Amino acid sequence: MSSTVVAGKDVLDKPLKLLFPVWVVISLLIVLFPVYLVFMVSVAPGSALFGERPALFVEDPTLRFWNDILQRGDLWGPLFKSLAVASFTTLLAIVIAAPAAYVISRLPVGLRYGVVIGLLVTRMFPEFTIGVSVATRFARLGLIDTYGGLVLAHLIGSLPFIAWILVGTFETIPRDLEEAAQIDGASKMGTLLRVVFPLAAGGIAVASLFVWLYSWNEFLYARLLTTNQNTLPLQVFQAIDRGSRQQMATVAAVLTLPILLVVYFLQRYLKPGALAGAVKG
Amino acid sequence: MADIALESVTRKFPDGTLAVNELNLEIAEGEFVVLVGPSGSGKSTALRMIAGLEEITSGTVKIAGKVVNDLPPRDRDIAMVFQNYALYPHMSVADNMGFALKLRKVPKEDIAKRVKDAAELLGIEDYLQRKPRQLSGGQRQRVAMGRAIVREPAAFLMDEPLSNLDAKLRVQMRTEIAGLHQRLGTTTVYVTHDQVEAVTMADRVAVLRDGMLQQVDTPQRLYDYPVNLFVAGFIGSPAMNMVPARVTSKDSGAVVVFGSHEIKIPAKRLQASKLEEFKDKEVILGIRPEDFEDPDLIPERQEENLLEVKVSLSETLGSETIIYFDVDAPAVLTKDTMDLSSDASVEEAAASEPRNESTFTARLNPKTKARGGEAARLAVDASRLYFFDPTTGRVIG
Amino acid sequence: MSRSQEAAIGRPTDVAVPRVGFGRWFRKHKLEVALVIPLVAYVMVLTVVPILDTFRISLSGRAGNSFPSAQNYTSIFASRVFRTAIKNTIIVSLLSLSMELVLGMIVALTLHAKFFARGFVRTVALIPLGVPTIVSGAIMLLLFSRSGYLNSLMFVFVDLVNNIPGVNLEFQALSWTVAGGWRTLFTVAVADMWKVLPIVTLIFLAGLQSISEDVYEAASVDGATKWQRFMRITLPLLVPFITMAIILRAIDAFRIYELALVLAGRIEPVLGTYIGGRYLPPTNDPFTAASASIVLFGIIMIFIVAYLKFVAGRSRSA
Repeated sequence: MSSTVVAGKDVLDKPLKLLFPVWVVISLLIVLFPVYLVFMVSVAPGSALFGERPALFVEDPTLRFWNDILQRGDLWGPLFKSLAVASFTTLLAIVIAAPAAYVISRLPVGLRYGVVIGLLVTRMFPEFTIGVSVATRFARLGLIDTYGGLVLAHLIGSLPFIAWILVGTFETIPRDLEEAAQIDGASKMGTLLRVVFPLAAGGIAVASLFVWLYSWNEFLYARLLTTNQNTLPLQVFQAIDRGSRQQMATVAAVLTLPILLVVYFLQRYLKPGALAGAVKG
Repeated sequence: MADIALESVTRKFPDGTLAVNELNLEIAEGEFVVLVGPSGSGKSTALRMIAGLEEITSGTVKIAGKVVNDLPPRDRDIAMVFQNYALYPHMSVADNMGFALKLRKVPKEDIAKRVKDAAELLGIEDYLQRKPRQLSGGQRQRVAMGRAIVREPAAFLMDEPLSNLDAKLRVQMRTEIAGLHQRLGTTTVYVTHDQVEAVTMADRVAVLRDGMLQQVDTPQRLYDYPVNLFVAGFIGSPAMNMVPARVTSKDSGAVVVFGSHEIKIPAKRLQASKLEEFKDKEVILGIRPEDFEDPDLIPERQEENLLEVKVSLSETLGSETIIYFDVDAPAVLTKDTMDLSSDASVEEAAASEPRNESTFTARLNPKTKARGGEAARLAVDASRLYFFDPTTGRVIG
Repeated sequence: MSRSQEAAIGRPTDVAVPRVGFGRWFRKHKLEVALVIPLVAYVMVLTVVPILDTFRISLSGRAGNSFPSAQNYTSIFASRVFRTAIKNTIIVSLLSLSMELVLGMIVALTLHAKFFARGFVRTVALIPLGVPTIVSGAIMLLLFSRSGYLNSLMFVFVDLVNNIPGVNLEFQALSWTVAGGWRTLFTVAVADMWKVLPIVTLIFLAGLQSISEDVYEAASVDGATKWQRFMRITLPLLVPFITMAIILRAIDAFRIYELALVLAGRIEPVLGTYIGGRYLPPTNDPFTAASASIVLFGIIMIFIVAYLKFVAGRSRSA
């Protein structure tokens, strides 16, 4: 180490100071340029896209492709399916995971971590390992191309995740409060409904947004369980496969827009601190 | 209002610890009883068993003459004040206080009136619409009290309610709680580890250790007649001085000898007790710091029972002066005295080579001239000596 | 013990393990049991059972009567496409993992520093998290294809540089995605990295924030340079966070599917696209898909165990 001291001391300071703003600007571009591309291409006239140097700016934007997909109507089905599946998945995930997460959070420490790790281990399996069997069975049960089948499949990935987050939320609610409620005359169920769940509302809301996002974006199970009733991600894939660049970009933009909004509102919950506990635990 | 009775109540934790061991305690209607003891003594567990928050392994708990072992907390008609207040963070102060009544389907107007009355009693009527997080520690404490008062329960259970307050506020709230009890007259069971809190507030104090009841009595009688070394050392501040000693006869009468000091035992004290049986055997002598005095400041001068000591440190408190001095006799290191001190150094001292020295404390009239580093003479009130059996720790009386 | 004590009220929420007897424990915790059962049942029926079922399918013979049989495994390992898929999966995963870690660390250090508009930059840095994976695949297609925007950018850059007298660079438009080989795999890795960099950054940022400022102050008083402080203090203290990032990300990287499907298609298969291709029409071969997915799980397990044993274990003892 001592040999690098000479190189280290002041030599690093100056380039860092000079390069820092440049680096920040470059990284902002790296993040923003691809997103810009989707929206730009979706309004680009065909002529702008060809050749070895497609134009980086659109001079005469056109809403043709937006009009097309909005009017042709083959967007509404997938949009509705994606919305419905994401919403039902979220609802069911909370109804199933929240009560269980509460109980898990009240287990003795060793057992609690055992259960949480067990839940996370299910995530180590490739979706295909679960999906091959699930898709085969769903096919037999007639669940292919149904909303219900896809909701059930999306719950596989969401439940361990939401349960894990909510266990952390419930752990922060002191047991004193439950005891106080019991002394005040609440039953066990009353304590949960009037004290515990209202206090966990913030955590439940954040967790459900994550689940909603997951389901909205999910591609693999959707592909395994769909033959003709696409979700939005499948619609994007179809456009990639056989559409024009602008069609692809337009459907992609439709899929992305709500998410960018959600992430924008979610960002205050995406605090690094929220993860710190998970790492130490 | 109701009386509470614990009959051979035992709580064994899943890991096998006996948190409370055969506890018998009767609390009369309207009485203020304090459970006091060091941490791990089982005082909180006992309270929680009365509340219904802790399983009762064996024995019975009765409230108003009715066995409540099987009843959930909500059917016991008790209110509890928690150490951390346990205020519902998502409810306003008024909703916190009215929650129990709401669950009982008390009409809205009645709730509002009772909440308002309790808030006035506690001086928190201005905060009723605030959320707990907008309140100071003292205000939260009051809301927690208010939540209990509004219920008009058969009994209040308080689990170290003042331990999260700063020293000044604690003294103030102590008086307020005692005042409230006088006004409302509700049966109260109060848990604390602070013996000052216990003796200042209680009608009766129950001293617990290791899940076992040591003694239960009025504060004054606990102070005057402790049953064993543990109670003697626990009640009173500064704590009682204790030292190994020997009772022997001299031509002038019986004396107790410790180190190079000796104190004459009044004949009456000797006859009235079993102390005779311990003659020439080792005993543990206890002297309360307030039973020392500067001989120059006693109206009728005393010529006997004067200890010649070297003062190591003196603290002037204005109303009194506390002095510390070393005595050339080893410190008492029995289980009783070790339980009294959470300080690990005591156990270390017990493990290491015993030093032939122990520190005494004396509370003197502030006019005393005794100063740190100087020699002094101290008069001992020989009628107030305590003697304990060193093997059992029990008082010899 | 009397009947009345049997029904004694426990600490309401203390769901201790049954010690005294299951019947009694159950009666006391009826509600709790009822609350966990749906989750447990779901995970059993729709996760544990399918995993075991896929394992069974992978060992089933096509004829259906020769269970257990390693036939599926021998046939996939005999396939050159499958072996390529394994190789490609490992290359893409390790490539994207190492890029994510290095860049994630740099970005985290950047965002940890105090500078003007840091809040805004942090928000922007999270954007890729909100871009659906399939969309990021579409974006990368726009960027990396032959008439793609990366080439456009390169031309702009080359033109700029050529304005400097005496410099004369030549640039040939490149096709990344359909080229095959390293270039295609690199494209997939970059796409994956762009998408998940925010997660890695967030984990590292959490780690950086957990290090108390006085440790650095003490180190600079002791005369440590910036580089030394990073190597001697930051990195060692970040080890648990790095481990978490690696494990979380490795699991996902090995399972890569959408991006590879869109960007590499059949040109360079990875295990994900291989399995998908076998299972879905027109191939419709669940046996091959099942056994390949078990192999994929095996690779993930080997990586995690090896990592924990050789890397994380050693750095902790050091």
